[in-house]
Amino acid sequence: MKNLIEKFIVYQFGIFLAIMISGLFNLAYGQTTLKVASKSLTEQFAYLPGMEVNVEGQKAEIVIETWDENRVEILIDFISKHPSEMVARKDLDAIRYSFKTIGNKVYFRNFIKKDDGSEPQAQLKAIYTIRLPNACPVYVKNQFGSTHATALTKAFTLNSEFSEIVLDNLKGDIDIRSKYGDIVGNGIHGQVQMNARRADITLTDISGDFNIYTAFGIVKLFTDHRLLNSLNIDGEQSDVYIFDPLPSAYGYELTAHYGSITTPRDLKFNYLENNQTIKKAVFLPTKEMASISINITFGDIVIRNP
Amino acid sequence: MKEVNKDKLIEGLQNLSSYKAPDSVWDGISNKLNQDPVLAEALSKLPTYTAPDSVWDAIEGELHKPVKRINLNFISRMAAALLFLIVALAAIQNVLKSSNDPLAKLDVQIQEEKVDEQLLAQLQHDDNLEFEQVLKLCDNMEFICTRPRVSKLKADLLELNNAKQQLKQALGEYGTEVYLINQLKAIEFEQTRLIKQLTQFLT
Repeated sequence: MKNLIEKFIVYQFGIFLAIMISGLFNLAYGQTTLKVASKSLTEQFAYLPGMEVNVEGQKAEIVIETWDENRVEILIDFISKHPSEMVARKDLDAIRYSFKTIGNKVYFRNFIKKDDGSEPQAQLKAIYTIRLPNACPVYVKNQFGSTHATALTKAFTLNSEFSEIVLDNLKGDIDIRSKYGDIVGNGIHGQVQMNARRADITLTDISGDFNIYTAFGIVKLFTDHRLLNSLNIDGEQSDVYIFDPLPSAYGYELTAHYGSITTPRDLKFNYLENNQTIKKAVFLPTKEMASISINITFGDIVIRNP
Repeated sequence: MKEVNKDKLIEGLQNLSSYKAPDSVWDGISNKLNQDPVLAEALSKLPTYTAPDSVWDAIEGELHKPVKRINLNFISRMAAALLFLIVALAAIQNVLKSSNDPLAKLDVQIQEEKVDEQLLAQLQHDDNLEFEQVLKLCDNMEFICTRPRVSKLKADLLELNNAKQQLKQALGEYGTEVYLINQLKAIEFEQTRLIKQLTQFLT
């Protein structure tokens, strides 16, 4: 009997031990530790009227903010991640950086290139935090990263690929080109050009004149007739949604090739063409208001009261 | 003609055994020559020249000139000097480079980051097989794939695949940017949709 009890205790202890060990393994599984090697750099200079800041980033997270000071400050972190500290340190050198001033244009550039031409093993990234006066025009080119721009008032130009784009409270001449990177904007006011390929566009609180080209994307605009002046959208294989509290305040010219047009029921659209291939609908408001023109091939147009 | 084994020739000539003819032989030859009046007259008219000492000295100098040998010692010294020059140039270039590259002077900070393995696992799997199969099928059925609708599908598929490869390269093995990973998934999703459409035409 005593023997049996001893055996039982040993058996129970064995199960307990097994559970503990498997628990430890479970804890260990699911996470990998990466060594993060980084370098930080700060550049700053006085802002002179007419100056333009250009940033060209590769694998860069770019944040542009404005301030009241009359100078430009750029903080840059260069980051390299790999399980091996040696590789992380070595590949950090593959991030190349240059800072040039040509006339009144200031250029910051980073790109990735190893001395021996091989591909870096570590995951590399550059993080730019740029602070400048709001009247300073900014040009950004970015790839495989993200761009956040806030409160610029004169001009912002962005050429971006595979990058997230967030625009907040921008005024002036705004020109955004994006391939494989959604554009999200709030408070965009001015002369706006957007060209998005395989990228969605979502804009709220917009005013001014908008020209948008879209391919393989979804465009969602939340408009306000008191602010919007004109809106032209051309595109292919894209759906366009316009949400406005007073849709009857606009003049519309909508064309959908191989697609559909959906409008609020109380708006009496005049269909100039309405067959399987093409649908063309126009609406003239009683008062001369802003105009919306949309021309889409292989896509739907939806005008809706939110 | 260039004498290659000059030293051996000199040595050989020096070791040749010397032989002197007896005076009677020379006298006999002289008498025979003097007996011919035409020859004797012609001989008396021959001009005589004495070569200056410098010519003989030059000949002697040439004969005793030491043979040029390749001096290994000299080459190794030159090589060492050259090597030193290269290393020095490389060092100078490095210094110049580091003075041009503002990053070279910065200190490196090291930290650790825990990453969800499930995130990294998303980068590992590769389902390009379906894509390649459908393209192969397309190549075999050219009469269908040249139709505008099908060729457009194929072009879109190729564009997506190109984007997918670029994204994968950018993400590497340890890419943890959720935005890029989601984009990769969206591309794969769209690719699957197109492959299904294309397959409908091809089967």
